[in-house]
Amino acid sequence: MADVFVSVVAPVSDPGALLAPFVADTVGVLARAFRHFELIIVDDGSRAVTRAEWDALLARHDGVRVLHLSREFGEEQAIAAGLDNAIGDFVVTMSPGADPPTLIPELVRRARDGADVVLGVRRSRAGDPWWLRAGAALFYWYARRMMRMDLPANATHFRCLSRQALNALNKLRETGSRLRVFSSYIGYASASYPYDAVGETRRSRSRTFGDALALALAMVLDNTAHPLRLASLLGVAAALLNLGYAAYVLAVYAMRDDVAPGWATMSLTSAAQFFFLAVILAVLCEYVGRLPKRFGGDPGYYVREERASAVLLREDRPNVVRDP
Amino acid sequence: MTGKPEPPRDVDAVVVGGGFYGAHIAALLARRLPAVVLFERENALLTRASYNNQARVHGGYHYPRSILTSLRSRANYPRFVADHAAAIDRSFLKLYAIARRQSKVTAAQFAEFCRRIGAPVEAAGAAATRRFDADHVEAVFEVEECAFNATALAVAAAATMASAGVQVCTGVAVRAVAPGGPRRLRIVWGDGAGESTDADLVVLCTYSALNDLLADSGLATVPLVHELTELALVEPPESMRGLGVTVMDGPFWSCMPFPAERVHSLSHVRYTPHARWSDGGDDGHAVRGEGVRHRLPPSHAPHMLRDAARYLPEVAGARYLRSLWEVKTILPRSDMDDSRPILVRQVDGAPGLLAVLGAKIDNVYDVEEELSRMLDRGGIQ
Repeated sequence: MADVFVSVVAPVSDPGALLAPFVADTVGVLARAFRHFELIIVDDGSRAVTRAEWDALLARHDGVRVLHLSREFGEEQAIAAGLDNAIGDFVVTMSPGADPPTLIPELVRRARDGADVVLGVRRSRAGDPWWLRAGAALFYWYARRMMRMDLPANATHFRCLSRQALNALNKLRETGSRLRVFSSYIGYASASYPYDAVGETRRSRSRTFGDALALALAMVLDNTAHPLRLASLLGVAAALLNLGYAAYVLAVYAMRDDVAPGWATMSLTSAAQFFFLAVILAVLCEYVGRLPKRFGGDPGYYVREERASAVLLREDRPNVVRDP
Repeated sequence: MTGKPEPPRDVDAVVVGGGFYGAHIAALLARRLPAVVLFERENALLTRASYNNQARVHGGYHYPRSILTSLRSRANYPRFVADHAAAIDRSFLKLYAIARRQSKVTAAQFAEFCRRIGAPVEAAGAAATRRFDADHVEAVFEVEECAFNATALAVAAAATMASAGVQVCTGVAVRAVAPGGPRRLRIVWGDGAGESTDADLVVLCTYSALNDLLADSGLATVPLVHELTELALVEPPESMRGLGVTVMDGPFWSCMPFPAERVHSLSHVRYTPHARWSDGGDDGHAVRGEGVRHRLPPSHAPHMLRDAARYLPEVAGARYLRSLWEVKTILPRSDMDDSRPILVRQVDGAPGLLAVLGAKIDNVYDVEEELSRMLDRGGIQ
């Protein structure tokens, strides 16, 4: 039995019949594997579960905590609330119904072996609709190539964080959609853990096209100014094109005699206007892109470990100061 | 009971339970009645709930949601400190930290509350504030509060008993109280049957065992809520020797000096209570606190230490020593609003029998006043 304190955070939203067996299974696994543990169920605004059912759950199992959120905030925020409250040395997050509790000890073992973040990765997306798979592929490609963030493809909420990594994560106040990408952001050693999600009740909540798109957008917008940089590059390109067009107009005006009266003036005016517009937009994009960095309250860097020189003080060194 | 005097068979008043409340009430009665005897099941005074607690002298800061309890604590505080000066330890810095998340009060509300009850409070200096994790703690206040040395209180109580002329019978368990005999009430005690003492007035100060005794006597019980609580004793890191910390107000914790053993106590709103049950009134009487105390669950000290270290990182340097387990009893109504009223109740069907349920050790003056009023009005009916 491992002498560590493990917290498990599981967000639920109207879990129905899933809840009781999930709690029983998870507590069983934890009690066998670890000396100290807690299971934090984050109740994300469930309406169908009665107070008596929660009471029965808490009366039957030891080491369970339930955090009731005031309304439904979404899975990401529910996990953030659980992480803020977890006290363990290692904290595992998971989606009830999708992630098998029997794998928790293995996940924690990998974290104890030195990886501060262990990310569960689904072996296959079989069962997802085609558009979700295609969209996911596009998103991971964009993240890797354009945002330069090495997101492990198909990472799920099944993950294990060391206390150090969690403390760093908690410093990022806006945990929402950062949760999925923070491992590459805070730069702690991370490892992937491929596993098979459980069969039928794979997802406690299904995702619509709109949900998936909104999540992808939030993750991109919260984490990178890359689209803005793209826009400012576009602005610079447009400015250069307008400059070229103005030169072309002047050349035509100088070389040819059959230019209609007023064409050159009109063209030059609009070229100049669009040039200034494009330059101004490009400059604005650059400034706006820097705002999150300045006002995000991010600590800027994280100390992974502190070490000191291990040279012993010589006891015979005289305690004398020559030049006071 | 060799070497100890036999309990007297006929007295004016009997106090059952030699805790802090029982001792004070016995002394008060002895000032008015010639023959008063105090029965205590343990082998010394003040060894149970009076010892197995945080040893905090409440300055009122603790109950921002119950102004009355706070005002009473505030009023009793200077008096308690003056009366028990020899047992008071005020040699440490007392900090109250307001948690940033899930606290039921904000820092501004706490400061305003302290101002209203007239409790000294000021924002802690930068050095003290920096000790806490700014991500978990909104603000830190320096307050005026102290701890008591429970062993010193017990020594003082024994001296008071002697000077007041109270006969103390330790190691004697009272089995039942019933109307009858030459006086109003007969108290049955000891292991065998038939040993008894007659008295006109009996005050029950048995705290969590109150309903045990009432039920065994065939009398009506009182609705009570009990909790099996664990107070962890820890060897604090050197930096915390002179520091007492309380994190408010919700599922948080406190780590402060425990003067009787020169260590620190660690308690946690979430982890100190292990089991909870109610009895008396309509709930009947099934669970006995003494039974629960002999089947202790695994300690929650690892939980307390880990959570506390999230707020005050230096707590991680504390070393767990052992735990003090006790059954804590409160009135059902204080469950809701965090108030800590005391119970003084004449037991139905047994004239002259009074049940007293104390709460905080420094609220003893409220009981004394109430009891004096009752005696002045012509005795206990």
